[in-house]
Amino acid sequence: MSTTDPERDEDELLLPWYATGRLRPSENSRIEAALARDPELARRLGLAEGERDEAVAVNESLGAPSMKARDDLFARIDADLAAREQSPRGWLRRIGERLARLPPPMLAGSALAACLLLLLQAGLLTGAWLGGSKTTYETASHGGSGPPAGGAFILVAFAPAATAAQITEALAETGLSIVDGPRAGGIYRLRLRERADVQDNLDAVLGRLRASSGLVVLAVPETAPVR
Amino acid sequence: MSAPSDEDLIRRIAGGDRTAMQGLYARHATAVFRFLVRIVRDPTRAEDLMSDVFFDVWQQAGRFEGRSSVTTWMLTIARFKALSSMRRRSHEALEPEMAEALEDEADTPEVTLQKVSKAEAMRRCLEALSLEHRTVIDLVYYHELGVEEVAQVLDIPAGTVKTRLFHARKRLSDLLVKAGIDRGWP
Repeated sequence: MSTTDPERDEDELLLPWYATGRLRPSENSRIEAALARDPELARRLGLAEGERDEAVAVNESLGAPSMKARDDLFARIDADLAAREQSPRGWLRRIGERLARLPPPMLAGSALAACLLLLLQAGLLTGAWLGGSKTTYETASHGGSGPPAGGAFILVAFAPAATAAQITEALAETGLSIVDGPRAGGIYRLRLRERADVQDNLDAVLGRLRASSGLVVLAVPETAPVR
Repeated sequence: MSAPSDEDLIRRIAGGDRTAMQGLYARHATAVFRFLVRIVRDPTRAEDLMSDVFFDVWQQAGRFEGRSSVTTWMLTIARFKALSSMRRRSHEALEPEMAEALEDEADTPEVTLQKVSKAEAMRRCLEALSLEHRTVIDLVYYHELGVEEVAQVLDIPAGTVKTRLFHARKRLSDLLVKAGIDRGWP
C-alpha cells in the first residue's frame, strides 16, 4: 500500500478477497484488469495466495470436534425438546397437530360444534348479565341495593321460637323487608313499603306483628334513623 | 434432490426439527470448532464453547432474520462466546502480550525457522500473530467470508476490516523476515 495511487492501494487491499473468490463482480473485474497491466500487483497476489494456503493448512491441522461433544450437545437438545413438550405451548402444538390430521369433513364438523358451543355460552352469559337474575339469598346487612331511600322503619326482635317460615310469611303479609341486623340484642331494622298513609299503615303493621303469637318479643317504630 | 440451504435448516430448527439440527451441525461444527480453537487455543474449551454456540442456534433459530448468512451468524455467536469466556479467565486478558511473547520466541531461534520449509515458517508465523490479526486472517482465508461478512462478525466497519487485514499481513511479513524469509513486501 502507501502508493500515490488510491485506486491501486484499494486494489492491493482487496487482493486477499480476490484470492478467495469473495469479491463483488464489479470489484473482481477491476482487480483482473489491474493484474493484467501491473506485474507487481500480480506478484503480490501470489503472496496472498500463499498466505491463504497456509492459513487453510493451519486450520485443517486443528482436527474436528469429538463425538462426545456431539452427543453432549444433542442430549441437551433432547432435554430441551422434552421440556418444550411439557410446556403450554407444547400442548397447543400437539392439539394443532392432531387437528391437522383430521379429515376435512370431520374438521369442519368439529369447527361447527365449537362455534355452536361458543354461541350457546355467549347467549347464557349475556342472558345472565342482562336479565338481572333474582338472588335467592341476601344478607340483611350487605344488601346489594344500598340503603333504602324512603318509607317507615321499625325495630323488631324476633322471638327465639319463631321459625324462618313464620318470619318470611309475616314480612310478606305486612310489606316489610329487613334492611339491617341483627344488631346487639338480636334486633333487626325493618323497612315498611312506602305508601301515602304510611303512619296509619305503620301502626297497623306493628299491631299485627305484636298480635302474632310467638313471632316477636319487640316491635317498635324507629324514631330516628340509626346507622 | 438438492441439499437444503442453511436458511431452510434454520427455519426447520425454529420449529423444533432435531433432524435439521443434525444437518446444520454436520455442515458447520468443524469450522466453528476450529474458529474457536484459534481464539482460545484450547481444544477442550473450544468444544464446550462450540456446544454452547449450537445450543444457542437451536434455541434462537426463530429469531434469525436472514440479514446475514447462517455462517456469519454462527461465527458471530462463537466469537462473542469465546471472548466472554476469555474475559472470565482474567489471565487470558493478556493474550495479545502472550502473542508478542510467542513472536519473541520465534525471533530467537531464527536459525531453527530457517531450517524448516517456507510453508512451515509461514504456519508458525500465522500461529504467532495476535488474536486480532489471526482472527481476521482466518475469517478471510479459511472461512472465506466477504468484506461485509467479516465486518459483521467482528462488529467493525468494512473499511476497518480491509486495513486490519493489511496490518495483519504486514505483521506476518515482519515475522517472516525475522525468520529469515523476505517476501519483498510491503
